[in-house]
Amino acid sequence: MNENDMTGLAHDGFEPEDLDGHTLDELSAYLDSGRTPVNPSIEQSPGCRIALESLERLQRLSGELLASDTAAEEPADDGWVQGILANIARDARAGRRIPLSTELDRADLGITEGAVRGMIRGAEDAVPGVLVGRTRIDGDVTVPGEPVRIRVDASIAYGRPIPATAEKLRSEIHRRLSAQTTMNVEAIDIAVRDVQRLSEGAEQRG
Amino acid sequence: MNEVQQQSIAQLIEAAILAVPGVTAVYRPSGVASAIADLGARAIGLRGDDEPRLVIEAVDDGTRVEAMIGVAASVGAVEACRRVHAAVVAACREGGTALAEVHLTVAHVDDRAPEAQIS
Repeated sequence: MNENDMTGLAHDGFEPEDLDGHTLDELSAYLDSGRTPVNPSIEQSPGCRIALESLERLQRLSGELLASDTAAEEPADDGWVQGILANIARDARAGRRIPLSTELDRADLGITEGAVRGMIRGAEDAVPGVLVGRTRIDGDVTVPGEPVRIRVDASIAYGRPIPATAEKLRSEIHRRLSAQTTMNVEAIDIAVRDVQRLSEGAEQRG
Repeated sequence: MNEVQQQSIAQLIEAAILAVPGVTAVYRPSGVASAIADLGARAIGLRGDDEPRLVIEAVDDGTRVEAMIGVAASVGAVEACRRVHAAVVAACREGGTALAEVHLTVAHVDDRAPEAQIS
């Protein structure tokens, strides 16, 4: 762990699924309860908040997938959902501290890698028919101005034009990163890993 | 600066940060170990919910402030940080101390929070 790694995981020996002491199962149950009664430990954890938002989107989509699967020729791939869950937990952790360039005097500003990955994942809300899988930020983001490369794995709804949909996702991610960070993003690579059958409602969301 | 003064200035600064439009939350320091230590301290009554969530440190040229915040996406992380910086400078002045440095980290960007939302 270097000084910019905010997770503490390397020293503490916790499992990757832990989010500030919570697990995805706990967060999922909390979501099912309508987030009541309010759990301050969860609500005051930025990692849990990021994971909750991702879980909400996934739950919404999973319900739509289940509904559509009854008419689909092939059943849904459980491994696909499990893979998305693992990525949500991984991506929500704070990770490295990314500096935000500023002219302000006596100010050291930054944003966590987890917040940036959460923003990237949130782009799926703006692009119908897309679910973001794994996100990676390659390059030394802890050095201001250093070129970085964003790599995103995505699933796309069956029937959607893959190149055009991937381009929309890339454009939305670029818009978000430009608005919220001062990173020197040299490329955003979108890899479409699979095609899933989504219901009409799922494809039109967002 | 003694402990009581430090606590008082920390509360003043935290309130100022939370009042900034575009700030959705002030979080406690990140990390599994600190989260569990925090839970443990609360369980045995050593730490209350009203305890400041930011870190204040008296240094040679004034007060160093370290905070972790959530921001509304509609405002933007950079703009929210700029507003928080101005609020911290003003709060330090009000508290009778100079700002040596503010170390600010955005830990969550909330897509759905309106600009004026505060936690």
